Amino acid sequence: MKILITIIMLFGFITLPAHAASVLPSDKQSTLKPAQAIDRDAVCTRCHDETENKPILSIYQTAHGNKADSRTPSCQSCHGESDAHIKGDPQQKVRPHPDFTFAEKSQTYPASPAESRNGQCILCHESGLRMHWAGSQHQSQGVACNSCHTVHTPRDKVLAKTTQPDVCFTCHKSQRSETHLFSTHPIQAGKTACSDCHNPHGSTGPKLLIKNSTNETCYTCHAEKRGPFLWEHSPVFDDCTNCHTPHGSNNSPLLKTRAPWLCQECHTADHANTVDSGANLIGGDVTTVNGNQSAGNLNPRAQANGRACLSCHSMIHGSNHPAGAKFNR
Amino acid sequence: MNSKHIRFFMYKAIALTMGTIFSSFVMATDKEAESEITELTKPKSTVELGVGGVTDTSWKFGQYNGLNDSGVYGIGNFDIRGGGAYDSDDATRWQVTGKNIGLDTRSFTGEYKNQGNYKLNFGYDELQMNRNDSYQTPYLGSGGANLTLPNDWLYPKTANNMRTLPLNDLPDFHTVNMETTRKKIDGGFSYFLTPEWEAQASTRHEDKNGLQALGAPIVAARSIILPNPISQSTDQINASMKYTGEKGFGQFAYYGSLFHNDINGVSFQNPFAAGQPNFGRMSSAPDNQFHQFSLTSGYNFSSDTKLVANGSYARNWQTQSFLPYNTSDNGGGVLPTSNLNGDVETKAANLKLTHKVNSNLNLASAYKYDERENNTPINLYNFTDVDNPVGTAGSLNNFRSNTPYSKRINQGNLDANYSFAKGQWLKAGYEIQNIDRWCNGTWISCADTGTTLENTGKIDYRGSFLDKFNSKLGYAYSHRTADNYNQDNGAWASYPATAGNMALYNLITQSGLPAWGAFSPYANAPTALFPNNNAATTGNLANNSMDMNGLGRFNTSNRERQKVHSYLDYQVNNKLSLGVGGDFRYDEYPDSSSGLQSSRNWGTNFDTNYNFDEDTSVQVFYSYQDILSKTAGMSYGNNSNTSTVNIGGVATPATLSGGCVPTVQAMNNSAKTDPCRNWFTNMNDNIDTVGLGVKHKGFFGGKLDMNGDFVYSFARTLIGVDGGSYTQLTGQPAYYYTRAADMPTVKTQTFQFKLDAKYIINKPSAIHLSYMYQHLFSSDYIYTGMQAVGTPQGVVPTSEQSPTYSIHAIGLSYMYNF
Repeated sequence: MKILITIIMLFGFITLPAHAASVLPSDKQSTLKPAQAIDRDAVCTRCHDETENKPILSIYQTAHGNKADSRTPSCQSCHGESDAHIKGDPQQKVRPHPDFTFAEKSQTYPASPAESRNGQCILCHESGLRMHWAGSQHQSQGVACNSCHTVHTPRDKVLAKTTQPDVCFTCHKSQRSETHLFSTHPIQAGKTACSDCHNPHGSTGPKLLIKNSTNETCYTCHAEKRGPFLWEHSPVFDDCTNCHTPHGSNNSPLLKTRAPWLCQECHTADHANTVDSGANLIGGDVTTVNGNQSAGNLNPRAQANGRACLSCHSMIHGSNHPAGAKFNR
Repeated sequence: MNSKHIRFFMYKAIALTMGTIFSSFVMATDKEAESEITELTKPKSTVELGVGGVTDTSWKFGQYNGLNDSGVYGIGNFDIRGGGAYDSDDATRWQVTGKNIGLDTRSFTGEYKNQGNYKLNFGYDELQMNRNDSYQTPYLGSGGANLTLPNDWLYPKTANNMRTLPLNDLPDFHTVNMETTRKKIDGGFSYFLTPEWEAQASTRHEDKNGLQALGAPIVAARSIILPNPISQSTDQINASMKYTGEKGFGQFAYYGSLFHNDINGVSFQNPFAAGQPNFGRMSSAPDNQFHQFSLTSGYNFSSDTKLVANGSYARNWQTQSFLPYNTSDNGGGVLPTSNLNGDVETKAANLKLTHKVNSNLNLASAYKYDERENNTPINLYNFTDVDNPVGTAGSLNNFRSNTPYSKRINQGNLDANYSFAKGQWLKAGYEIQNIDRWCNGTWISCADTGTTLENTGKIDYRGSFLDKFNSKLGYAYSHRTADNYNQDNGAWASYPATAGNMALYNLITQSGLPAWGAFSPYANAPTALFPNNNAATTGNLANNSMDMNGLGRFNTSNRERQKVHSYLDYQVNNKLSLGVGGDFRYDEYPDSSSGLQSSRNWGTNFDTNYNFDEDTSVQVFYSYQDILSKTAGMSYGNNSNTSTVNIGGVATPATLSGGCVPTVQAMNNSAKTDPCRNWFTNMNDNIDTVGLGVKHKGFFGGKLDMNGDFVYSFARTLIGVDGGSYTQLTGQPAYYYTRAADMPTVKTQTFQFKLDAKYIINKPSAIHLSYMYQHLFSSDYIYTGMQAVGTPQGVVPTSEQSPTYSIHAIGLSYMYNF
């Protein structure tokens, strides 16, 4: 309750009229008409024009180039006034660098520190999806906004579902290989994007998940597993990733390990106590003793073959059947 | 005209001509530049139409991409953009897109906005998930909720052995395509009330329909895999009011999720034997609702000190009417309540304070509270297993109470990020996490442990050096302790709090006896409770359902965790970059003598990129991942404590071969102490992935762009089993200890080659060629184990095949850009 009161007070505090009166710093809210804003950009675009190898001017196709919106930044809003760069230094072959440089692989002007670059973006983009950026995993690891985003192009790869994973896989390489496994979400098919589950700008959930918890995140697509069920399976409500690995697995459906051993990691009673042999499974060894096949292995145990435990305990995410305490109804 | 005049006119003419040429050149250059500027600044639209084809049919190839059937399909994509020019006074922008129009994975989006004022958007998306096209079932009525057998269905000669399925039944099996389709439609708007306040709302409706395999047991130890009908919908609503100010921001938001299931349950005819029960019935996921309100605020005390706070409250409930206990006996008894009246409250709060002490030191502290409190009422349910009528042979009367689980997380974090030299960072962090688990209203705790406490220390190095290297090396160690661990609590709590159960619980808790029967060193257990040291006979605990002492459920037991993360990137020059990385995680459960003992997951990656020039690049990568889980258990049985039995036709005393004890009598007497009954498994996933990507722009004088990708993935799941069981050989008057065999290796091997080529005919037009070859080999006994010969004992075969294919897909389309 104390925390709730703190949050409400904080919310009230920042939205007080006194503060509202001083909203948005001058560099967030332009009073320039579009033509004037273009003239201000021209300080830069007279050199950085259509002949640039990297298409600088295509930023005008993006939201950052819509000059009729008074919030739209100028070149200087992001790169700084850069007076030294504009004036140049006759003693030097290359002009001094702009105040803020972003290109991470540029040999001419090495990128400004990630913190500085991010500071320029956060000036306008601190709310919304970026609310939890400060102190987040990516922020504290020195990831810059433009490590993932390309601002000057009208089609930012990271904002499109089909191309976004490639951007994330630049760093998250285990996940890249996992998406090629037998059991996956439709990531390679371009129907699920990383941002469907993760908010790379920071979140209140673990692993940058979009919701407060893993389960809440999974339920955004798998609401049928939310329940509450009459018979709850404790590891399920606890955390979906107790059993599942979401990026890909050789064990369907997206299981960390294979039944029955997955089940036997927690269950040792009754028929879950038995050793499960691969003998006489299709593709497996034929177990014999002194050349004789043992009676107990003539048929593979139901618990080891096929869907294993899930052949019977199929309502493993929870059952609402009054006779479903064993998740078999 | 004198020569002077002539020269004057000549000069003038030349000057005029030169001037005209120069101004024409300047004008032409200006026009060209203007055209290039327009090209760069005007939003581009694209329409693509064409035709494609797939050579073969495979559900797995087309699992998510809509290319599951061989044949021809249409290619249709568009992305059309419009609105005011960037330098105009018109802030309007709009965009409509369509993707994969000719496939069952089609999607459409639309957006119209007056930037800075309002935005409207809509979307439509289809996703067909192909699950299996080789599944076979004898049931009639697939797709409906009542599955019946053909009139000529003959029951197997031995009810619990599907190898005795009469041959006459085989023609009754027919293929049913297992697939589900999701269709989503969404819409939303946002509106700036003032430059600081923005209102947003969106809604999404999703239908999911189709068929999905579902195991359905009926009678003890017998099961059939049903074509389970899916007909569900989910509505999600988001609404928020956002504030953005100079010193901070705030957001008040609502999220609602309403799940509806058209199917309450599916009934299926008993395929194993005539008589009771003639039908079984599986339940379906119940309708549920989730409503959450959240408030988030951020305040910047200065550019160096920021506080973000978030709180949320949610209610989740479901009141779906219960099915009857069973399909016979008029339902099998009176239910204690007509529906669960399930009610869960979720409360969460987060506080995060970050402070930049100076340019070299950043501090961050965070607190997280997350509680899921399940307030669902507890009732006692009296049921027989799997639709058995009450009182019939083999039916067991269960008396069980529901155990509505609750969980509360309290977590604190402290991190310090220190730059000790330019580009060199050292980060140290500490995290403490306390998790409470409980059930409201159960007579004892329903959780293995009421509280787990985990402390984690982390240290990371991150640095750049020589302008060429980027590196990271991180290590984290966690230690988790579980308070008063009792692996039987969950099961005990679900039994009724009768005097007998309570007395037994107290005895077992105090003595350390396992409920499934005493063994050394508890050999002197009360014989009234544990006859022959076997399972407790009191009340409902007689079914040997208690777990082994020493079992540690991995998500709640004591744990040591170590994690290492590292990478090194080397930018050799402006053309070549190399990268190598590795991850390692090791979890050990030091106090768990059964269940999961340890798990380890490590992997390494190598990447290299070579950019020949701006238009040509090559990328190669290799990844290896190794995942290992070790599990232990014991195949304990009943102690018989007798020497006179004639077991399986073998007169005693009979000898045993290969085990830990010499005779059948000794085997029977040591059913809980025989080391040969201990078993261990090592489950190991090895995954190799190799990738090669080549891009080139500008073949044929800049007209042709090509992009090729090759990926090879090879995954093996190896399961080693160490242990065995005592068995009698067929037709032999002797018992042997038979060692368990390793499981067959599950292999998945994928080759994939993709080629994408775009030939520019002229400025607006291009031809687009796409080609994909994919080869998959898989061997997985989830499928291959379900044949008429080799099916698990007691499970009706489905004849599913492990998918293997070699498929080419090609598409040719015309693209028009404007």
